[in-house]
Amino acid sequence: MKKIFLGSLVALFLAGCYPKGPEYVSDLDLAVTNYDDEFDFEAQVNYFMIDSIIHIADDGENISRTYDERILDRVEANLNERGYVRVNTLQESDIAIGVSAWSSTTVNFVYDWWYYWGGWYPGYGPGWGWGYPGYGWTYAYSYTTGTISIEMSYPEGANPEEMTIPIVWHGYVNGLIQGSSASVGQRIDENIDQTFEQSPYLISNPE
Amino acid sequence: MKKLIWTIGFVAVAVALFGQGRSQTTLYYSVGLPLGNTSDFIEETSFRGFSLYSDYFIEDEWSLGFGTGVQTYYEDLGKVTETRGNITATGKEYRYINQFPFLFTAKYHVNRFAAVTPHIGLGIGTYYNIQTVEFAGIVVDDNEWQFGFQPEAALGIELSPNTDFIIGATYNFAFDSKDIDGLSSLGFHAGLRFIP
Repeated sequence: MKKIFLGSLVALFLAGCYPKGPEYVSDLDLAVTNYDDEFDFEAQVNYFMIDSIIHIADDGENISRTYDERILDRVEANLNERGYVRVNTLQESDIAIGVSAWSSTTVNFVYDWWYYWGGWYPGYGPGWGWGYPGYGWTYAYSYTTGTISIEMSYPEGANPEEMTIPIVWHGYVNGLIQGSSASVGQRIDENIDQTFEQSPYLISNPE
Repeated sequence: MKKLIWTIGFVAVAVALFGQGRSQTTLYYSVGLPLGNTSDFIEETSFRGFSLYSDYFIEDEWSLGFGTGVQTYYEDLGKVTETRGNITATGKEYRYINQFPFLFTAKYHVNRFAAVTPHIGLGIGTYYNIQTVEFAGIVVDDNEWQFGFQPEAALGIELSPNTDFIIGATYNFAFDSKDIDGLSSLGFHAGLRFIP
């Protein structure tokens, strides 16, 4: 009987002291960037940014717009800090920035969200797709609640024949929605900053 | 994982009840010091482990037996930025190794019936390894068996006619498998030996 007790005690002890890993919501935050290494980011000056965030949600699901302005302000601040200048129309711009947010569990890189850029790119409509830079590294993960996607395109690269818009830089921030407003806001700022920090090539420095 | 731990607990009970008379059972608390490939993956010493040995005496000096247990290595790497090609990812990274040895053992005992009883031994068998990387909540596991061996030296001190206090050290060496490099470590053990 004593030995049975000892064996059970060992199993309980080990199950109980198993390391916990992530403890806080912020421990799950993820910032991912990808870029087209043939695109000359330094040569660009003016950028156009769509002044609202596109929300992509499953049927019947809504994503709070509480943080939209904060997100856009943070993206703008980072771009301005790197020497880019915001302009009011796509026609004046060298590059274009779009920000989207979603909460579904899985979204593929290529999604039929044609009206995201609709009205901005002439002739853009259903059937158009994204020209993302190559993802040589298979980055396999499923999106959990709360992802922000920041995409950089350039109007001159739009290809009406192939119906693609080139995405030359892509920043993802994942895991943002849980917690108090203050902590969520702070983590949004930190993770958006992180996407720029890990993209040192994003700097306007035309010759 | 928990199933495996409960299984080992069950084996512990079975082994403890088996072989009354010429047998002995040792239960250790184990500390694991990562070496080689293990320390390349996780540098932190593991204080989460136990091991269990059952020995059957074929002669007064020699015993054959079986050993098992688990050692859990863990390291919190903090915020990590990794770049592959044009993709860069930043998140908190945690690493784990759970190593379960299943070894057949042969041991040579000096002064088996004395108050202080040293022994040396060698275990040969397999290690089941669960090597895990958790990056920003994304978990990637590699689970593999590796062949290996385990030299051992230990010293028992009599507490009562049926119980010894025992301390020991082991070197665990495992060979490379398909996706996991051979995991080696030093083990330091303290526990009780039960002699029915």
